[in-house]
Amino acid sequence: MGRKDSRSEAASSHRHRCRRGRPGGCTLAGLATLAWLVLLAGAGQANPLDAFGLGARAIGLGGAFTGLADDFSASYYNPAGLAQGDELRLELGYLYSNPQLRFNGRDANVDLVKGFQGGVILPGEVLGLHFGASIGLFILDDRITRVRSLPQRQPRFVLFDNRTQRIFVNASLAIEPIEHLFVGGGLTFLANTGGQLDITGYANLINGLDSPLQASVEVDIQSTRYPSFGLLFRPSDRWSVGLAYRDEFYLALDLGTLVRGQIMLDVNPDRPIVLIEEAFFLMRSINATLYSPRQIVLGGSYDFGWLLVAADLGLYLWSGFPPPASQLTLDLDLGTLDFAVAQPDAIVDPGFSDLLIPRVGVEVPVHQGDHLGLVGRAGYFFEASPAPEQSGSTNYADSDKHGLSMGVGLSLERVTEVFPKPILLDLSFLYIRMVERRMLKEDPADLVGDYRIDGDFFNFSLLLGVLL
Amino acid sequence: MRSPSAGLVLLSLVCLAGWTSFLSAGCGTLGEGDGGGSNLPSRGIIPFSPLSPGDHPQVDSLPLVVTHETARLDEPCAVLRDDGVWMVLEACEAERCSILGVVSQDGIAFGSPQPVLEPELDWEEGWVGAPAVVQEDHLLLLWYVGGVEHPAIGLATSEDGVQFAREPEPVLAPPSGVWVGSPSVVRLEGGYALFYTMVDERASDQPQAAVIARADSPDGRSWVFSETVLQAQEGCTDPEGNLVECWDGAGVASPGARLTTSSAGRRQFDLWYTSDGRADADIGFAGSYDGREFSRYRLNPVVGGDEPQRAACVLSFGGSSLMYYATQSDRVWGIAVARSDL
Repeated sequence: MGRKDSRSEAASSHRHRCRRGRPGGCTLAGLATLAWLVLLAGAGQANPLDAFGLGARAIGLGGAFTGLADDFSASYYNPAGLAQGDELRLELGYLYSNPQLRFNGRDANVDLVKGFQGGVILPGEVLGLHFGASIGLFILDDRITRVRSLPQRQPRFVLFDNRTQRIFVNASLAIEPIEHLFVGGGLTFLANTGGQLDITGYANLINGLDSPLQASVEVDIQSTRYPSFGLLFRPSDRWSVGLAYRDEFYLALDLGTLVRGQIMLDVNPDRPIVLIEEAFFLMRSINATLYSPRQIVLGGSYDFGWLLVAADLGLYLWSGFPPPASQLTLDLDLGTLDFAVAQPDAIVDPGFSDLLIPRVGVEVPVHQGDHLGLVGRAGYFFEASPAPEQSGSTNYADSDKHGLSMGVGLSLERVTEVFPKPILLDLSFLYIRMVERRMLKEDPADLVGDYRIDGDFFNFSLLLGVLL
Repeated sequence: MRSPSAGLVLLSLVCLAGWTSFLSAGCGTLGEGDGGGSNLPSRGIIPFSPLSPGDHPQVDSLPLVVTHETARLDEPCAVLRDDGVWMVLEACEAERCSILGVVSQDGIAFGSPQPVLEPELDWEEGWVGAPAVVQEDHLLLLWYVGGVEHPAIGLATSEDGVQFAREPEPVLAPPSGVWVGSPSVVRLEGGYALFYTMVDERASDQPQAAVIARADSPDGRSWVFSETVLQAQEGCTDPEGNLVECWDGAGVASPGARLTTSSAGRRQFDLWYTSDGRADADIGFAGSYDGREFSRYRLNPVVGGDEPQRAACVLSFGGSSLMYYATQSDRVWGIAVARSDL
């Protein structure tokens, strides 16, 4: 019997307890969870999970997890899977990704992505329906978030710039309306950031140091959220089919600088000459700092007993990708002075393409004893690049990616009286190869010129889970 | 087996919330790395930073790195030679111009200029200058401009950089009404491409703007005019793509051409040139993939300032790009250098 089977046994046993034995306790727990989800609604951020995945088992299976979705990472892969279990499930782990991405063979020093991951799945029953509620988290351990606003000409690995430097907080709920069919949905919370620097005073053209200016900064963080939904049909322990939908979202960084005041000629300190009464300069920058495309993923799994096979096929609608560049608006009013500021380059549509991403994973039971179960995993995915040739003024560097994963899962069962149910330890390693791509510029006097990109990602994920 | 109690559930959630808060509060830092901003690709057009006094302990004359007590120096052209930089340049005194050579081990501190080529032949009319040099194995090929009334381009060769043997007649003699100057030669597979300043006044009595032309030769000796590759007031656009007046609209001159390979392995021509016809001449850039259709850098000039800068020659040396050009400092015309580390 494989590890999955033993988990199913435990889940089945607990489901009956919850439904027939102490429904009041489960309902109370469910309501408490839902209340907690509401409280969390204003504190969330976005996710780097599209890039590397979540959890350890899912990553070990190459991300082919839509048809399985039986741990906390279901909140990302397929929230419907959260209602499969009957145990309270707590999981905590660490995710580490070291991207080594290169321009012309030289490391661009793209930031590491590393942080704690984990979540809780709470089963229960409300109005006669079995449900599973969860909170899923990924929290960077070196920053809360990172926002960069870059001009469109500046080369950057566009999918690994701001996108991976975000916290993920997701609250999901799933139910089982009819036997074997699970339906779930979730919300991932994000924050839009905006702000304005306001400078007022007067500028002395003769003596710049004698230009008293007052500055104020106003920052506005607004909560936003995007939904995800999932369906999972599991008629038996052998096979399942899942469908997941994740909505599009993007975060905008809206920054403004407003300078207002007088411009003076302070030739005679007692009688300064006012050149301009109401000088005015406004610079506004709007930048799409993070974007995740609308996604529809179909997945399935089949368990042969000696081999579990899972596969996903995801449609990623990258064609809606907004320009990830500062859209600058400059407005200068110097009254009678004939002076104008040069307007920045027009922002170009990045022209990204929709993608189909196939994923496949296998899991093999290696050992199943009374107290110890061990499975091995491997997976593969191919992610074509949505970015077109960067032959013009943009430099959104990206290339096709091959992901190869492997992992192990350890289950310790009935180890102590304290933990009579399995303690789960999953470890995975994911290597992603970004194949070399040559960007050839149409303009031979382009400031950036031709260049090559390639790269490697080394990802490790560890997850410890307990069932209660 | 036990089912979880509500108390245990709440305890779990509280622990999770506390764990989240702890991490969030304690880790609000800037993080590591520079966000992928290292080793960004660059065409190498900018920035070239002119060296200033104090930038080199052995060169007191900065921004000039080569000067002459009595002659005005102009039209530098440098090649790598003997682990250093060998530069030839034009030196003019009164009505007479000659070509000097000067050597540096680090590309900045040069020795004293030494004579390389003096006017000797009749067609040179006491005037030789604007040298362009190409090194092939141990042979130095030096093209130069000779003549005053009817300037033409001659060729001299040398194996040691000291003794030059020159062709008795010009290798490129333009027809009457066409003025040529400032050659710059690029070695190609199976031949050479010569870029030079040309003013064609055959069709008009009015002064014509200088253009940059190209000629081709299989051996460096017999040249055939090919085409005009860059001319004034052509192909300048604003950020919206609209045609605008060119920065170098009065004329283009003194090309410094070189053939490079892009980071993606594509052959490309760099053309550093001078805006002509203005007292405050500056240096601009145009690029091409075939050496025939050139595109200007949109934010030209790349080197400019209060003093005129002209006749750039760019060389890769010691991990940097060095641009040698003629400029004036304290009323002395000499050769300055600007450096780019990209």
